[in-house]
Order: sequence, then C-alpha cells, then structure tokens
Amino acid sequence: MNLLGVQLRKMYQRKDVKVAYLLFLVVPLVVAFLIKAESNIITIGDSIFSGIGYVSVVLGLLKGLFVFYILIFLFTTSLISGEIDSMNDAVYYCKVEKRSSIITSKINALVIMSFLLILDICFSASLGWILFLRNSKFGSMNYFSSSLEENQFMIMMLVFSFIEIVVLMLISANMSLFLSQGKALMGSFLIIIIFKLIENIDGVQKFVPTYIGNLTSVMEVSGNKFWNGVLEEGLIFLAYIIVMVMMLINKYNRMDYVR
Amino acid sequence: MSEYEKKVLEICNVSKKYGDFNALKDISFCINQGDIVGLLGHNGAGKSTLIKCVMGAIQSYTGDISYKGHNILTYREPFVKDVGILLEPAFVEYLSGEENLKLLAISMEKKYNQGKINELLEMVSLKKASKKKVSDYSFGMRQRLGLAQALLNDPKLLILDEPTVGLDPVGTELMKTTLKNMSQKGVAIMFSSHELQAVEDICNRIVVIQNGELIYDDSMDKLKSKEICIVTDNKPEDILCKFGEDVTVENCCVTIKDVKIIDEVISCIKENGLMIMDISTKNNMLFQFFKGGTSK
Repeated sequence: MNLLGVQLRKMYQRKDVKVAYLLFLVVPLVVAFLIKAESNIITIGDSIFSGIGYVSVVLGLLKGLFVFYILIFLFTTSLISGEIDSMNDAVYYCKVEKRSSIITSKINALVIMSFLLILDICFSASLGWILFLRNSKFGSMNYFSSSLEENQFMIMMLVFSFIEIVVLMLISANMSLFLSQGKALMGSFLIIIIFKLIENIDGVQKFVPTYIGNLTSVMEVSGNKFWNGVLEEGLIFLAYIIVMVMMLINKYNRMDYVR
Repeated sequence: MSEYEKKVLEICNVSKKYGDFNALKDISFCINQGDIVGLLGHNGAGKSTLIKCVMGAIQSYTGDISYKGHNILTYREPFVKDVGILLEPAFVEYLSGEENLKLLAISMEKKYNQGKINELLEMVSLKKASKKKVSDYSFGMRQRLGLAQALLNDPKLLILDEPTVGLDPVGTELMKTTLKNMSQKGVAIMFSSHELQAVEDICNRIVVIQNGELIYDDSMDKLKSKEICIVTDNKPEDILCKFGEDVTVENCCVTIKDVKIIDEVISCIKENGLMIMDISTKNNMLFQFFKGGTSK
C-alpha cells in the first residue's frame, strides 16, 4: 500500500499526466461544441446522440486517433522502463523486502490512472452533451437511450475499453522490462499497428485486444447471444491479463537492473 | 559479540559473467562492524558490478552474499532494514530533493519522520535547496542527496559507489567526516573511489579488484607503512647487506622498509665514511597499488 501511494504520488506530479487529464476534459467539450455549431470540421450526418452514446463516440474517437494508446504507453514505459534505466528501481529495491511489490504497485497505479482517465472522458463527454447537444437536433432529450439493448451495449463497451487499455498497458509493461524506454515506447506503438492490421483477419480478430475492446462482434446481436459474446470476449481478456501479469512478475523478480 | 554479529557482510566466491566476459571472478571477503573498507580498482575492474550484486540489483551471480549470516536474496528482511546504498544517484527528476526523500521514506514505512528528513538535508547541506527540483541540482548536490537517501534508515551497513565523484573539496570533507562518524557508531562501510586521498584518510581496510579478481585485501596500515629513503654522497657498496631485504640500494639511494632499523642503518652508513645528503619518507603505496596491480 505504501508503494502504491508512492507510485501514485510520482505519477500525479508529472506534467504530461496532468496534460492528459486536461486534454481528455477539453476534447469532448470541444467536439460537442463543434457538432452543435455545425462546423465543417466534424460532420455527423443525421445522427442523434443520447448522453451515453456521445460518451462512447468520444472514447472511440480518442482510441481511433491512437491518443489514448500513445499516452498510456508513454506513462507505462516511463514508469517501468525509464526507472529501470535510471536505476531508480534499484534504490527502492534496497528498501523493500519483495521485488514484486515494486512492479505490482506500478501496475496498480497505472490501472487506477487509466480508470480515472476513462472517468474523466465520461464526465467531460456527459457535460458536453448536456451543455451543447441535449434536446438539440443532434441530441436526444434523455441521457440513456430508450432501447435497453443499446444502453447495455454502450455500458459494456466502456467497460471493455477500460479492460482493453489495461491489457495494452500490460503488454507495454512487459516490453519495458526488456527494452530501454525509447525502444519500449516504439515497440508498444508497433504492437498497436500490428493489432490494427490483423483485426481485419477473420478467425484471428476475436483474439485481438483492440477488436475485443470495441465489442464489434456483439454489436448486431441481442439477448443471450449478446451476453454470451461478452462473456467469451471477457474470458479472452482475462486470459491475456493473467498471462501478462504472471510474465511481468516472474521476469521482474529474476531480472538484473542492468541495461 | 558473536562472530556473526561482528561479521556484517560476507561475500563468498562471487562470480558474474556477461556473456563470455568475466566481470567478477571468485571474489571473497567480509566486512566487520565499524570497518571502513575502500574498494579500489581501475574503471571496469568490477567494483560497481560487485556493489550491484551486494544490493541485489544483479541477481544472476554465482556464490553467496550474506548479511549477518543470512543470504541477502532469500532472507531480505534484516538486510533491507539495515542497509544504505548509494549507487549512481537516481531520483525522480521532476520532484524536489525533499520530496524524493519523502517518497523513499514512505516506501519503507507509511508514517515517515519529517524531522529525520530535515536533519539529513541539513547534514548534507541541502536544506536551502530542498524545495528545488532535482533536475536543477548539480552533480555534487545529487551526490549529497544520494548520501541522504542512503542514510534514511539509519543503516548499519553502508555501501557507496564513488561517493566523492563530483564533490567540491568542502563536499568531499563533509562526506569523509560523515563516514568517519558513522564508523565510530559501529556502522560497517564499504565504498569504492578513485579519490585515493579520501580512501587513505578514512579507510582501515583496502580491497583491490583488478579485471574482476580480488588482488589485495588487507589493512590500510600495512599499505600505508612508510618507507624511508636516504641519499648518500657515494654508492654504499656491500656495507648494508647485513640488513637483508629490509634495505635496498639503488645507486646512491638507500630504501629502508622497516623503520625500526633506521638508526642502525644511519650509523652503518656514517661508520663507513659516507655522507648523508637527504632523508625523506615515501608514502605512495596506494597510488602504486592503483597503478600497478600488485599481486596478493
């Protein structure tokens, strides 16, 4: 617990983390304003957004532009790889009994930060919807859709987007143990590009985290089929998380802090 | 006091390879309570690798390192509680010196002692700069903050890798005084340095590593024992043979290795009609060691 506090303190003192929160606070508001102003920068056709629908659109936009991924990779590589490079981890290792407590505290801090970033987007997008879209020609009157299935899908998509971010962060964290900060960042980015390329291949796509995160495979189904699909994809994510965490802790416990 | 209590750190047959390169070859020595051990060697000799093995940053070595009889990798509790280490000073750059110390203190125990942090900052003369970001610190200031980090848990074993690098004379003096005070309190200290004067001033034992091998491990006094050099007006032929290996003659220079026989040698020289032109002491053994690689 002490170490988690240390990692969170370290992270929230960083300027780029503060900038990320500010960015995710501003972008949904600006997008909502631009839609309302009917500017040519963003065109949405005849779409009418519910509040929850607008939240998922903004999240999809930030993921689609790779903004979310890049920021998470930046924070992960600097907290893990950067601190191994600088020998900062070694300083902490001399003061704690278990090596694994250092890496688990870092992962927990990153998970908390990712969760709060998603909450930040949800809050800001909801606010943008209330201020600019609600009861306009682009927005419905109610925050939730009248269709229960649509609401279920939107909420599960938010949950899966969060888990997708966690899985990608764990992949980047594993890479950070083997590579210096710059290389780990590039490697993580390369992984995302590969994921984006292979998510169009049938048969493979249902194992690709970026594909699962969008819940694309259950978009058109409802009822039991929807929940079965969600469960199946959730289990794939769980398998990813278990394997990644085990690899991470195992490697970190045995590695030399020498680059 | 039991042998284990006296023997603070024991390094036993430690070897480390990087590929085909032997960074450490079968290193064995121990550090006792109150010892100040100077770890000497050329750049790349293996000093930092050894320190990294001791702190646990490198785990893939063979041999055994134990603290008060317990292996440092398998039974870490007493080691973590008692050891203070300064390697390359590493900090969170965007935080102040004080915040860096606080974070480290929190990682050890939730309720940190602000008084202790203030005391350490005062001790390393960083009180005024404690609120400045570490990225704005000079190398010497970082070195001193690193020392404060190492002393945060009141260590009983202090290991420092080149602590005097980048320090000005005042900083070096401060470092020396601190280490001496710690030693008087019973803290065992090992530090590597290229600052031979500092090593000579404060160490009571010297360990020399060359190409990953331990080539010398003995008391500083032995190394420091002075030689006397007498210059005569003519070469004192065979008159000094009776002193054996304690006296060597090279041209007009007579070197006496054992100071106890100096009176006898001088009398002998005078009795044989030679004039003494100069008497001086030679005390550059440490430098010769560092330079030459004397065998054990």
